[in-house]
Amino acid sequence: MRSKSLILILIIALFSGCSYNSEDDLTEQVIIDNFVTYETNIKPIIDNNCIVCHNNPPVNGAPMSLTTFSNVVEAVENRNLIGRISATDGSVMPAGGPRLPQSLIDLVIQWVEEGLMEN
Amino acid sequence: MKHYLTLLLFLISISVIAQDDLLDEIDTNDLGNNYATAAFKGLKVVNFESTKLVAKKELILIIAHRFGSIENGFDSFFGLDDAVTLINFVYGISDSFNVGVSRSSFQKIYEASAKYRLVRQKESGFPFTIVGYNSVMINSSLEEGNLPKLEFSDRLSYTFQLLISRKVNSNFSLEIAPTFFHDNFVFFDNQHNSQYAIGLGGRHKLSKRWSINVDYGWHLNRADNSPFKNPLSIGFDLETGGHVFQMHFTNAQAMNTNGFLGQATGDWGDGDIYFGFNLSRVF
Repeated sequence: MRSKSLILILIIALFSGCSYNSEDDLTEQVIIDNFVTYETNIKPIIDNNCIVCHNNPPVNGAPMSLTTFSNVVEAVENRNLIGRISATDGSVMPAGGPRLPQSLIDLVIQWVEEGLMEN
Repeated sequence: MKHYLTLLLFLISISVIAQDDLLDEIDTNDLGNNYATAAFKGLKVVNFESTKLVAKKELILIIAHRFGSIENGFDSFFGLDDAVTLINFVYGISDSFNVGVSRSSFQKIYEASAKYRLVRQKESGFPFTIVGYNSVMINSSLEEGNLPKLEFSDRLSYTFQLLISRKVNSNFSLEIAPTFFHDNFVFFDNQHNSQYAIGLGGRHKLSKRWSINVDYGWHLNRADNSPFKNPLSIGFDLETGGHVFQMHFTNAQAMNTNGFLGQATGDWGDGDIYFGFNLSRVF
């Protein structure tokens, strides 16, 4: 009995095998033709990662919504959005981690530096 | 090269299992047992697994929390706002073989584990208790939207661990835990996926119900400039009937072996540490 279940676990482990990937291996180069804009570049990131809780109305204890352009701009200006997604400790957003890939964090920072363009 | 190394470790763990059966057969005929009892009272030292196992046909529920960093003070109420939780069921198929399943809100990790005792410490006999621990983890928080080339195998991680403990005297126990762990996906690009660590743990009894526990994970091949640190944890165990209540401070927020060894971000020097507790209940 004991050896059976252990062997089962090992088979699962062997079957799935080991791979050797890191962030670089699984992300693609983000190509920006002109400027980073909310509609094209930022909204998909927010929708993928933040809306689960920062919906309208917000759920799971999230303090504000991030569903619209003005919501996100407000969070960047007054709620340290950049600080929270860049954090490397337990306070990182999305809550519970993992941190977003650095390429996406850099994209949001670039968007802020270029002046928070909507489209 | 690295593939051979991984294969070797698989083979070692398989041969270790074979030994387990043999030793068990010997044990069944053993009448006069003078085993050293309860080197550790909890199933964990703090973060590391201890050499204690769940008894046959017993089911234990462990609920563990790690708060966020205490350094943010009242802003996050010393980490309460950023807490993560682990729910873990462990079942004793026999006194020396346990299986467990868990789910952690730290990166939404599912885990299946097996823990099996190979040798028991005996008075005027073998001086150590040796326990094997293997687990497979699935990280369900990785998003294809963020990582376009993500495949299912990237979500998997494995732990292979030997736990060797010695009850030095009735108040004091020590543990050493050579560990190999592999993450199919690592967050830090320069970090090798296959990682090695040595865990060190100890427990000292303070009174009938209280003990102080410490453990430390010494990572042997962490990448240069890695943002992750070695985990050090200090805590107290309180025993109350069917419960063991463990309270501690640690610089690792993750509770799975690969998490606290590979992704501890806190720093004792900066006061960037987390309060946590493990609560276990027998059914």
